Amino acid sequence: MTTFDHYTTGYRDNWQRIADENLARCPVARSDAYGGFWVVSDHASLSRVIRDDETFTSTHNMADPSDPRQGIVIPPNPMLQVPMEFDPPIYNAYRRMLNPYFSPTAARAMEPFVRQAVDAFLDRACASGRIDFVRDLGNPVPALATMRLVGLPLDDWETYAEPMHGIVSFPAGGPEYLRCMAALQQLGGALGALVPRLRTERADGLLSGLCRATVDGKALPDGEVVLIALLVMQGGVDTTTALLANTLWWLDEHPAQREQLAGKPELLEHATEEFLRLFTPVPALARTATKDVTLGDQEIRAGDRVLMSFAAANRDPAVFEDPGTARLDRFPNPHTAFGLGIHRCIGSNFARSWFQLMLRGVLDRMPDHRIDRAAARRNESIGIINGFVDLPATFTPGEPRGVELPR
Amino acid sequence: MKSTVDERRCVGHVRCHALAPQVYPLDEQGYAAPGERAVPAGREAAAERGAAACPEGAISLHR
Repeated sequence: MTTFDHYTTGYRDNWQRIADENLARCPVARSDAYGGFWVVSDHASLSRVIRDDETFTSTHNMADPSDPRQGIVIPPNPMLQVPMEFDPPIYNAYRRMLNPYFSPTAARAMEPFVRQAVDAFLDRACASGRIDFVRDLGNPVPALATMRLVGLPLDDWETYAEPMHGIVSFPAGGPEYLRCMAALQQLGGALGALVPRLRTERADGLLSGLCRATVDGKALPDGEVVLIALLVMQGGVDTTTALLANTLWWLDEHPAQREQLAGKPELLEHATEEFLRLFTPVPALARTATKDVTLGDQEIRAGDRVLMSFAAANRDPAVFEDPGTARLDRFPNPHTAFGLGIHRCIGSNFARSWFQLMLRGVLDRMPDHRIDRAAARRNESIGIINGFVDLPATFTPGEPRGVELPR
Repeated sequence: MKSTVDERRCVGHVRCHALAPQVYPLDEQGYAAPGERAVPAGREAAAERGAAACPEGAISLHR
């Protein structure tokens, strides 16, 4: 029995060491936190859990808290995550309906929009010689892109962008958290208010598609339309922010690799996978066992909660040679940062594209930037997202390019 | 050389397509088009890299 708790600052500050110790001694470990759960760290056991949806369910029974099936977050998320907290066969029907909006073709089509947003946000900062890579770039670009994807009016981006970051970077229950929660409830309301019109009128974006879609021959209820759109926005924004922030923090520590990456854009394809492996923006998600099963040398019981540590599996020496070292050309790189199996992150094509366009923009336009490492703040807890609250930097001022925010 | 994408294992990571788009076309879902197809001549090395990149082990190559 351990006291593994992925929300503590101790975990935040020592997660690599904790992962490496669990991998070496106890790849399937028991924690007594949050009513008790298993922590799966090794790549082989995690792959087995995540690919066996019958034995390890994603279902979240919100109506009955005594049902052990409490979804994919430990402790359970207060809002149902549609369709992440569904299982086959209904899950597959939702996924087939959603996939075309998130395909590589869709991600490529959005590139000009995202490139313009990157240039516009870098324009705002470039004459001053100061930027916060989280607040001034890493948060607003994915927020704007996600609002475009969903089909929300872009004018309101400032109302929603910061709270999507704040909700995971401020301590749960505190005043900042409650302010962000209120803004996101307002976002849910704004989404809901658009639904009646979109039931009859065609418009661009996912929300309109959801209003006209059928799953198993039935239209989606209003509540589900809103929950799916909210999940897409939550999934799309702060995850990519965290990947960018961790990468810029690491490149600031490794100037030789930064120079290499700036000079050879073709390295970015493999380097992106290595940054995903090393920083794993979503460190862990959960399942619930539906029957007794042996995993590693542990006996899992029906009803037990199981936390899959993607962050640990991405450091498994059985799969990754010299796992603690960043090798920007590592190949193959079967990391689990987007999950595996049928629930694989639906936004992975967008995430890679947005991350690369933002990083490229910074390396091109602020090549001598230095991060103010004393002022940068990591999230108090990395239980949900391993990211930074803010990441200030300075650089030699440059000329704005006169690029406006896309509309 | 021929490639086979196992549609029971493919979940749309599209690492194969990123490395070898001519060998691994996509379907309308944005997943690798399933089933067996001939690897275009001269693309064998790319086909091998694409198969090796699949985190689900969904791709096999055969003569």
